[in-house]
Amino acid sequence: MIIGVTFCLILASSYASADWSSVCVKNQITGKVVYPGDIVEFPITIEKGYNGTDDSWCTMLVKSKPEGWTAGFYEDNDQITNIFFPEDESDPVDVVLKVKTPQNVSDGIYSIWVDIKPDDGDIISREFAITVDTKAEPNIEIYSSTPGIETRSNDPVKYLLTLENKYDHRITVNLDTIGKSENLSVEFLQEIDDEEFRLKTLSLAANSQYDILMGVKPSINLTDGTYSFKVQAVPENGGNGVSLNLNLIINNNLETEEMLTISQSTSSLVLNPGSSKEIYVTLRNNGDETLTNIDLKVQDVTGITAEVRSFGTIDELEPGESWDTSIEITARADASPGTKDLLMRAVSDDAQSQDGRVEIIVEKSDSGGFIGIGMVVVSILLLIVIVRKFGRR
Amino acid sequence: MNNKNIFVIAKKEANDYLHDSGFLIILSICTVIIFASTYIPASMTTATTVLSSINVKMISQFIPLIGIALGFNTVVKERISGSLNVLLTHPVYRDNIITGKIVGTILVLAFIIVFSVLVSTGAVIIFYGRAVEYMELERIFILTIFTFLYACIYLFISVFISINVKTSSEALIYNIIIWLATCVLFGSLLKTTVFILTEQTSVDSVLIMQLLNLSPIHHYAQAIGGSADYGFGGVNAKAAIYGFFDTRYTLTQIFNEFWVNIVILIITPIILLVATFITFLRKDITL
Repeated sequence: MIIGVTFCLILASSYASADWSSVCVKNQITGKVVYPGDIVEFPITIEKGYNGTDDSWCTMLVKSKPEGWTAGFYEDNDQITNIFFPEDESDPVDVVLKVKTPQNVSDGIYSIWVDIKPDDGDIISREFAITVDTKAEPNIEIYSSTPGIETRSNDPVKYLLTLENKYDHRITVNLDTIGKSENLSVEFLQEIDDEEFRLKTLSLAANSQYDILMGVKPSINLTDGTYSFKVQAVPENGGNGVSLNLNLIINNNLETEEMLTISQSTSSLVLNPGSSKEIYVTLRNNGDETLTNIDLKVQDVTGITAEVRSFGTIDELEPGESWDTSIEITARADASPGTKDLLMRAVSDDAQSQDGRVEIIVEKSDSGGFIGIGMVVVSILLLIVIVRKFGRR
Repeated sequence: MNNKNIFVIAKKEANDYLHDSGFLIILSICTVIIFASTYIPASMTTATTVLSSINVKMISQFIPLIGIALGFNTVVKERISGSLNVLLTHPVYRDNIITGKIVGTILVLAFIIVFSVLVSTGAVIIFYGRAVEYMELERIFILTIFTFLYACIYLFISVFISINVKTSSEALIYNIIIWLATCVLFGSLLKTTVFILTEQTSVDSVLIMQLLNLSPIHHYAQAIGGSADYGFGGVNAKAAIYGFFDTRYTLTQIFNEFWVNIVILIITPIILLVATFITFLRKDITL
């Protein structure tokens, strides 16, 4: 894989160095900077020489290369050694010289000499210079149109990132984050056919750009503030990468435009063991689209029974429409005294509401306790009276 | 009728019970039965009232045993021991004796039931801290009365048998058989008999429902819980109103619905009392 800053040593067309030849060779790039292990490509254009009406051909070979390197000529990804030009055709042929650098090559400038030997005329020689530099800056760029997003804790957001490969070669890039708070969970996503897949490594075509979604989910109860972190794209064989600063602003007071909302008639209830009360709950569609299969889910709480007074799910809830129901909340007879939270949530096929919360305070009845004690005391008094009245011998 | 003699005999009868170790056992058993039949359902149910925690079925099957335990030995024991003969040498009449004995026994039975109901329901209310409404106390009071009347039926049956048999064990066996037949197994025996005779299997067949009226447990179950039967494998039919425990209805509405059962629960002990009274007067009670 080729990664590195490519530069043109010769911008002008270069014709055969021989005095006369049946083919001519043009190449604009004669040198590149790479990392060890990269595959570097040099585009070369070969066309007929002076006599364009006769057929002609040429042989291509790598004359010299550093030891341990591999190099060859390719046309449409097929390795070639000869090119044939039929008569009366003068279309140029684009070939690529591919050079694979070894993984353990040390930094320095290396030359590769190639010979193009025509069927008629002098041999054309070319030199390609490859600079191996492990400290070179990569020729890629990463940017985002949304580098700062505001949200609330536990409310996930997505950044849109663009990664651009400015090489004229395909590269492989590893994605990672730097300096991320432990309270943020991050994943790189790719959307294919409306499905999201997690990404870790990207293969970018030459001179292309690629959009990436980065999902960030703040943890529950994350305090307000700005959380900064970096996204880094590191070429596979390179030591350095490019990075982008992103900010996530946590504002728990942020008002949300919820599509589906839930509201209840009371947020607090006091119940004696065994007693029950009814609360009223309203579900509302605040969105622009019809919601389907809306269901009201109530969390199980120890000692509390909640019974929704409706049948199954609501088929449809039009935009702006609301639906009322009631829930009978019963404290079981054996419910221990204390405060319990009953959470409820409306869930549809497309959206779900925030949790509605009802605080239930279970407390033993004072009057019940006095009555119970009174009954026991009366029975004991009765026992005493009976024994005193009828138990004397 | 000499009221003073009756009171003396009744007091002596109650005194005998109170000083008998069996009294404490009976009192404890009755209290435990009512407490257990209330405490465990109360811990499981999601019902909103103390009333719905009371397991009337359990009470209806065991309370008759209290009546039997108090009554089966009342006369036969005195006759075998010869104390009846001694008593008759005093200036008391037979009617004084039987009335005094029955009054004394009824007093003890009433005390046992009232004590058991008060202690059990009171303890459950304390343990669970439930709020209790006046309506519930009112219906617990009604439960106590009907339970007493229901127990009286078996008390008078046992006294009646006690007059007519020669030994205590014989009296006990007859009473147990009657308890099993009329209380525990009446519904299932009835269904089986009706099936054999008519091949009717429907639990709400007219014949079965009519024959159920012969059992005291049917009237008690109807009045308290609206059920046709509380016996094992009995008739599992339920009225629209769940008896006096149904707090959706007023007492007047419930009286109107179950007046027949209530009247039978009141009249049956009276009839049995009269029968016992007459039998005792006519019976040769000497050794």
